[in-house]
Amino acid sequence: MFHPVLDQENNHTTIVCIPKDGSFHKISQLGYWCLKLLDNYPRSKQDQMIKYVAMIIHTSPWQIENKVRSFITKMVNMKVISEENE
Amino acid sequence: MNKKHFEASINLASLRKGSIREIVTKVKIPNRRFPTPIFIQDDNCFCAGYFLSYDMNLTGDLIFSLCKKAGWNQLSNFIADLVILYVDTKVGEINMMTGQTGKFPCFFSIEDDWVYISTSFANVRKSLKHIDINPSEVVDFIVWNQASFTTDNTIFKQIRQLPPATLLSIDCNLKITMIPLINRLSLLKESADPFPNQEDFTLTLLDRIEYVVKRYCQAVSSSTIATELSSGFDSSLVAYVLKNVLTNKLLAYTRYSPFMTEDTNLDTVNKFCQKHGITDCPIDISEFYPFSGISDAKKAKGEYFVTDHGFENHWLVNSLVAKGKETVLFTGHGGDEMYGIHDDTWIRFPIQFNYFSTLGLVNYGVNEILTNKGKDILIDRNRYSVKMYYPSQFSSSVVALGQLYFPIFWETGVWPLMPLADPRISEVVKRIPKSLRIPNKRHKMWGSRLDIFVKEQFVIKRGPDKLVQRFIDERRQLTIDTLKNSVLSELGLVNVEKILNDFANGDTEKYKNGGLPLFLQAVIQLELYLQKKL
Repeated sequence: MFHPVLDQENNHTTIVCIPKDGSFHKISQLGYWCLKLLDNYPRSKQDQMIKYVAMIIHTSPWQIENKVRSFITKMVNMKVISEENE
Repeated sequence: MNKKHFEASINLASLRKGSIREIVTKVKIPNRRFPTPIFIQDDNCFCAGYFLSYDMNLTGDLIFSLCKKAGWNQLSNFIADLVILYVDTKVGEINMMTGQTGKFPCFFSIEDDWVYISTSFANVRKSLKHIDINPSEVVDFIVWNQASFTTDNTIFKQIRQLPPATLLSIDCNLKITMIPLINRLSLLKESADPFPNQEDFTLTLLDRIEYVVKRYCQAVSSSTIATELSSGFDSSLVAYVLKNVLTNKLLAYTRYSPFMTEDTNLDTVNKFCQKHGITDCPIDISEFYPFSGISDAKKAKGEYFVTDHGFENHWLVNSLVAKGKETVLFTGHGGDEMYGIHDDTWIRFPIQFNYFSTLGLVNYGVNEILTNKGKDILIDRNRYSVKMYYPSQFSSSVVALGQLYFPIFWETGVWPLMPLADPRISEVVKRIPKSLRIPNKRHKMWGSRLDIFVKEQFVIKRGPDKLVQRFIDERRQLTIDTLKNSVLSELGLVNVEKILNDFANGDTEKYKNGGLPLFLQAVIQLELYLQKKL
């Protein structure tokens, strides 16, 4: 879930809950923007996500490409997001 | 029973014309020793309320001077039970603030140019001509038993409340603001390095607990002091330190029952008391389960409602402790959170934490109690996205305990002291060695301190589940009769028909599983309240 006030105060970091065991997992700023895009546009492709996040955090897409792909794989494995997003 | 609560009915017309006399005549501050009542007035303003400080010498004059210079943050940072009304007729503003310990609830409402404020929910409700149920709060109350998350809402849309450490300001044009007085980010400051080993940590922690307990004793000196004692680690740690601090006899009250030996074992308590020369007063609470004495419960709650399962037995114990005179009762509450304070997830992401914890409850039987509509409201993400967080240095369950059981504290005259929830102790526990950041850390932490604990205490402790569940068998007819007239069913929130069928057919065993006993008893508590008054 997203909370405009707290998210901003937390410098756009958040937590997710792992369905398997109910534990919490902290999410970095990069992960936050990936999840935010998926929340707004569930059908987003990874290439679009890389461009979007790069624009938001003011960096080049190639610098974050591996991180984004690895983050999405991790979230799918944890069943936080569905496999369609991989 | 003392029905007198702090209350103020303020006419905004009086505020606009600056008539302090008219306003003051409608402020009631019933007298008592603890916490201390306060009323100070000058030409244009006055402050009224109660305080009991556990750190430096907080006086009425200091409170008044801080109010006059809007020193609300400074006031909220005192480790003190506090509820203060400050009215400035020159500025034309009403200010109401609560302290961060959360012992004082404070409800308010505005209707027809009148502002009603009271520590009694019933008093505010009685002053209103019209009320509407707030479904969003109702579902939270059912699944969390009022102990989840500090909120400024109540089950009625027209009545709001001040969370701990919050300032409410209302000006004569009806501009209303509610401001949290504790900065959440300041609670996240990096603490010093962890202690290098267990021994250094436990010695420092014991020193700090002793320091805090001494301060608490000084704050209530000349009062009768007693303690609660179970066979767990937290209350016995408090009792041990308290016995060392006090020079006279220490009475310990133990709530026990054959239905909850996993929670408190009386033999273990006896051994602990013998070891330390503490006089134990065991109280059998077997017959004080939810709805056990419905007329006593009504008397205890007055016109309020409490959805917590322990209300009946807390009322019994506090009545026996008080014996008609004001007493302070130390407790071990706050211990669970104290040992987990090194993990700041719940402060950094409080609303996300609340949302995910609520989602987790769906696996504990929420579907059996709430309708799809009720469940949709409960887990609606949009509801959480606009929730406001009111931070306190005290853990939310300790704060909730104060808010829940305030009618008992106030009516019986037994004021609880919870030293383990004190921020001065949290400072030390944040530095817990990494080797102790494990489940059941108390066993490892105190394993070498058999000078304090007895070996029988080193067992896994469970809750009073079987005692709480008694109402499902013993109050079956009450459940059926109450649900037949359900208000919550009319609102489409609760699966009343299904529950009634199960109870009519004797199919009630499933209501003893997961969170169902707690959800069901909360539904009945709310129904009894709403049916009587709507």
